[in-house]
Amino acid sequence: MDENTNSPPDPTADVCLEFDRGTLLCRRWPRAVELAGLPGMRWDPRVQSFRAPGRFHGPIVSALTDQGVAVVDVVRDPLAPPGLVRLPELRSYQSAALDAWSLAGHRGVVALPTGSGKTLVGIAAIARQRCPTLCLVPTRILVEQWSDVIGGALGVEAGRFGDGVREVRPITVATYESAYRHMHQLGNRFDLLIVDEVHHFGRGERDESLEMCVAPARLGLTATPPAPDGTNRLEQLVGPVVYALPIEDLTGTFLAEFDLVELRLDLTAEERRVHDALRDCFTSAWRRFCALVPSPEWSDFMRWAARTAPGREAIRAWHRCRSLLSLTRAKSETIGALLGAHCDSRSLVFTSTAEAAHRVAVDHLVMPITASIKKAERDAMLAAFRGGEVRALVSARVLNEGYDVPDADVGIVVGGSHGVREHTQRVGRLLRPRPGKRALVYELVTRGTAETAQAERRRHGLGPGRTWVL
Amino acid sequence: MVSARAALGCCSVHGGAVVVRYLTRSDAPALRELIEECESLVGQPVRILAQRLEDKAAAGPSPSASRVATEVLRQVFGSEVRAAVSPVRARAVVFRLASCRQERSTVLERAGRQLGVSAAQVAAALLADLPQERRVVAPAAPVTPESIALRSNLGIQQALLQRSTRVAVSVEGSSRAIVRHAKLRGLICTVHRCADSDSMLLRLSGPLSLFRRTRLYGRATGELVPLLAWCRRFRLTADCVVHGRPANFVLSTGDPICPGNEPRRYDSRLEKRFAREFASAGPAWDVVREPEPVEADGTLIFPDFLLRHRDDPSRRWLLEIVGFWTADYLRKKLFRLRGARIANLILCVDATLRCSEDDLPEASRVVWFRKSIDPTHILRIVEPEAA
Repeated sequence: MDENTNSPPDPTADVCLEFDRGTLLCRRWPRAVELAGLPGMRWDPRVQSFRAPGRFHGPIVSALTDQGVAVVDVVRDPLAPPGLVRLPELRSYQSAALDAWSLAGHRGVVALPTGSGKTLVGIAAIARQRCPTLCLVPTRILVEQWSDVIGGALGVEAGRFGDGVREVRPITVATYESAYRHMHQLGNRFDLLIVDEVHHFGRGERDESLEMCVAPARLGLTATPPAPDGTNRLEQLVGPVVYALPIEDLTGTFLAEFDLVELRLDLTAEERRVHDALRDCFTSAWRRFCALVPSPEWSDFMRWAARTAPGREAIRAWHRCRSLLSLTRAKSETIGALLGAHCDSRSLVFTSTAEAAHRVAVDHLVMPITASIKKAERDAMLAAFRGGEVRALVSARVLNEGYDVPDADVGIVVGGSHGVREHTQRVGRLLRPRPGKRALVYELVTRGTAETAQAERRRHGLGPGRTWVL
Repeated sequence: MVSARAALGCCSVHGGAVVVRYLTRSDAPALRELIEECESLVGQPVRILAQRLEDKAAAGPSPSASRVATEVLRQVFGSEVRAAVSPVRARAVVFRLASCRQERSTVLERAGRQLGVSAAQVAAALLADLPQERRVVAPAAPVTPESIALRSNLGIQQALLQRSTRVAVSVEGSSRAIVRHAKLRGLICTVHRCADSDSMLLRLSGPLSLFRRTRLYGRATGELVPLLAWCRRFRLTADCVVHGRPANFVLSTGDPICPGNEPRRYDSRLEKRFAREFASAGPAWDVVREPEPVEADGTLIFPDFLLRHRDDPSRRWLLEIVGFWTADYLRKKLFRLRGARIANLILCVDATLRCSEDDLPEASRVVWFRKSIDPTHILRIVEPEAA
């Protein structure tokens, strides 16, 4: 029988809080208690009850307890604490980051450069708290990696949630996407929430996952904390930045020194002709749009352009132009030359698109690490790379963020589309320290194209004094 | 499912309302051309199919509609890996050999010798399992422009609902299936009888919708669309965000909807069996599945069955089957039913599925059953004179 259930308020009852699909629901409460003033609490006329987002569980219970109100709290249904076999060893700055987080009341964001062991800080937080923990990571590849690291560092098997797998354990790793879809079931089962690459949150998209979770302890990890935007949304959801170290502070000690060489390349005559035609097609539409709109936005332009045939042609021209620049003949030849020159080193090649990565793979026989390659093969190839059997890997985005790449000395950035943050992440892939190591990052930039301005912005993002333009 | 980008290409906003450019009979020639293009590319890499369809869509009379259709076609035409040697094995050999200082051709030849195939076959196999390099295969059943148009329209409607923050449906008939689906998918569904007609107004939202405009429940509401096709009349209105602007999307009887499977008539074998056995045991009674909802305590109750006497339709009994239960649950249910002044109601309670040890609330017309409901017990209640 389907029906809408609602129960009348019970004037004699204690305040009864339960978990209802990512929210806290109060069906019974004494008349004397003013629930509407509690943090996040609102009257829900649909079910004739009071309701609040899950993340307000702690503040609501505290507020009620402070008022001397008895609370029947059946919100949490936590999993058993993980039985940890061993604890991870931390470097000094990792311990300091963890202490700062503890002092901040187990809420906050730790910002450490790529390659400095952020994952280990998260895992140490689990070991310290010894409570059921949900780790959110951006991709399914990182779910696998976090699970492996948790198994190795703590000696427990982690549950996985994502890409069709739904396995809940005291320590569970989930993709953002599956957390978004399933937090209504998972939200009350964990006491610690760790959010890897936390800068993806706080802008509205997928924030519901963090809203629906009742875990009081929250740790955000990132290499690139977002600039404050006045809303403090991330601070509300996870906490403030409690510890931050820039690359410079670790370079030479915990991170390897590096040089960045920018190689300016030319298009062939044919490529130049095609490029200029595509660029002109696009810029004429863009200029028409700019004449119409005082402060032009890219998303508005795309909508405007999609309405007319010339506009659609301009969008296609823009895509084709990007595709052409992603791997020009000069870039391809230079990749070949650089891989040959650094034959004895371990190299990582970064492209702007998966298609370009696959073309590099076939043309230069470099193993691609893309989302299309399955975990077992990826792991085998990364192990081979670590052992020196495979000399180079090429990737568009998989290796950008979080993925624990074995030690590499040479990076070749063939193209990028995600600005300074992506570039910082990529350079960070090369900075795993080794005695005497000095990493070398080549950036291939095509003259007379949009790439020169993009490279300029990226260079500023990394800080001064490490770039040589050739 | 089609991508939001393609689907929203068929939508515009005028005066705060979403205007959808559905695929119709007039698109049949263009769709037929796209289908023929797909058929001609069976055996080719998916990448080529994708490019050719994109070019054809852009050059066609209605690029936005064709773009949605191309996405549907790419789902309809599957793909498979074709290679002389397993791509995973080829990569394992080639990329290891490539670490030596050797020319590309030499590496491929050495790999070919190891794998027992030619160098060209090794090169072709290297990425043959990637989604873009797999080969197009023909679907088992023939593809028609009509079926592609229907699936495209469904994709557009579902993409719009995925971007919805609030949905209301006024519906005549089959409302139970919609309420049931909404509840199964974790939506909160409030039901009201429309004053001026026989229809029900269902408002669908999620727990978190109280606090913010969220798209969290868009997928669940999108799944309702195929069910609407089984309603006599309906009108769905949704608050959406389209092209960055809030807009109202309306879907109503007569719009092109791709029907899903007919909603199940019975929720369980127990119900089906009861309907059959009661019909034969009490030929004077009609067994009506999914009767009109009953108002109770400000909400609506959907009884499982209505038993109505053929000669005297004023003799009506509502019958409700209770599976898992607790004493508290039954107590609340009976309280609500009494509040609604529903006199002729029979509760059939599974004696084996008791979930707590509390005492049972006192109530008449509770029929206990194990495994199946004995129709003679029910007849004894509805026909006391015969008993």
